[in-house]
Amino acid sequence: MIFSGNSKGGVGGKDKGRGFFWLGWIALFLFLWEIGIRIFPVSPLLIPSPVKVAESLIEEATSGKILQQTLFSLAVIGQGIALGILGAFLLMLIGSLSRSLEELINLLCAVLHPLPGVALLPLVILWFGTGTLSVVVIIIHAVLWPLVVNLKTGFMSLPETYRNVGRNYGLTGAGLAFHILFPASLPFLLAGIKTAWARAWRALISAEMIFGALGGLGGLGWFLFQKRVFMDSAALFGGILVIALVGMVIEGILFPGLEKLTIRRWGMMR
Amino acid sequence: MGYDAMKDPILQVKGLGKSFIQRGIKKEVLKGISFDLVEGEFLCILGPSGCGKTTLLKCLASFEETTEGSFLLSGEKRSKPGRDRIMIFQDFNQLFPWKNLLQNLLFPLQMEGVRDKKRMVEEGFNILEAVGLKDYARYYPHTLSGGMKQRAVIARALLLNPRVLLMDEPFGSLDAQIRFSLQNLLVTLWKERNLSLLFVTHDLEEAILLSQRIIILSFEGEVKTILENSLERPRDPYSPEFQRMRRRIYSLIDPLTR
Repeated sequence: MIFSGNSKGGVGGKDKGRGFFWLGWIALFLFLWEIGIRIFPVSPLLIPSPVKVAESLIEEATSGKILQQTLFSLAVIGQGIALGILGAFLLMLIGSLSRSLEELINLLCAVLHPLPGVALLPLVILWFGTGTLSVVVIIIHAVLWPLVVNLKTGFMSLPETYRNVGRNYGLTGAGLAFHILFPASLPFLLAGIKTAWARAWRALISAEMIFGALGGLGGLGWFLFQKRVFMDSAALFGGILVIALVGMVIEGILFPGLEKLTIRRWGMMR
Repeated sequence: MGYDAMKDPILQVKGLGKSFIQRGIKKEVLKGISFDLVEGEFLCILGPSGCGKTTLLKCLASFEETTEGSFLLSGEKRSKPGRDRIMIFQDFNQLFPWKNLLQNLLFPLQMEGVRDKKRMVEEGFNILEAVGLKDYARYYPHTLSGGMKQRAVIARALLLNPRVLLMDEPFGSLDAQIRFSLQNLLVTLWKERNLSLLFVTHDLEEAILLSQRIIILSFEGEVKTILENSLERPRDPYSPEFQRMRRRIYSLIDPLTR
């Protein structure tokens, strides 16, 4: 009954229906949560009441600094991803210059792509200190390699016809790459950015917990850490909720929106 | 408008040969190809699949280097690809999917540095009308059928006014009806604009339908013979003259590849 959704309703119809069902389940979950902690003896430190969580969230949002901290986290990750994209394009460019340089890039990817950012953390602290710069470096590392790998796959999968059409118009080298190869590999770039975001978000939250109050305030990771230290479980739950929400907005709204504007519109979804 | 041997050749191919080295063995794909394409001529190259027809066009477009011989375009040597000889591929993926039809058409002009946007758009619409796609200027390629895409590709090529159009089985992947309408369109455009066309196909009937001359390529990549095709237009595939032509060519084609 519920799941027999008729997809002829179009994207809008399906989403509206789905939205209601999700709200229904969430409401049920909150209801059961509230009832549950009243019936069963659980320490509010372990599982606070949802009402308390909501209260504490509102308080943090109005008088506390959670909004600024969220924006701070997003700003740091934004910088990291932007620099990562730039770096990926740069590495692609270098790799396109000669066969041996291409192999060098392959080697770098093979060694550094599987390396978890956390493993590099102590080294990064040693080299760049304990400030925001280090966190950005960690993010760049998390972001750069999936992007390069995806761009590379993209370039290799492009139909030869595109290149030949470009060459027919007198395009070579950089002109060919800029006007034809890069736009044509957009689906791969977007897939890379999605992976990069996921890795970066995880790296960021853990890095923030370790690095502390960056830029005076710190970010969401630091928020979580502080609330645990002060045993403010309600706020802790609230912080987790915010982190989950950010992830949902980015992955559920921003990325599909970007895809809709570009590769969906152009029929380039893979 | 018949083939006139007296006219100046726009393309002269002299002893063109191309070989590849695969796993240490030299494979000769084309050998000693020599022919002329006269200005305004509709010349077909007929040959079985795998005989090197596409390779020949790629060499003439300079996407590949010849290993032997040479060719001249309007009396000059060519070594780099250029807009003076535009190639039309069989692929349905020749249009850039991130641009709409009009943007696809105008892209090569922009690459040349043409700045007069108003005139470019006007010419774009003119050529779209000539191929019957005027209403689809803002459509994205993925929304178009195969036949429409090929029409758009032809429009894009014509907009650049190349000296020669190199066509590599452009209608091969289309169903019979669409193919027929596109063949007629091509003949119309050819007559109206005095195009010089080098049209490659493996389809005997298509070659007879379109060409003024047919170059028959053997499976080994050599010119077997060059036939004149002076059937009167409009050509009827069921007329006795057409059948005669068909039988004649059929007897010349390499019996191993029938």
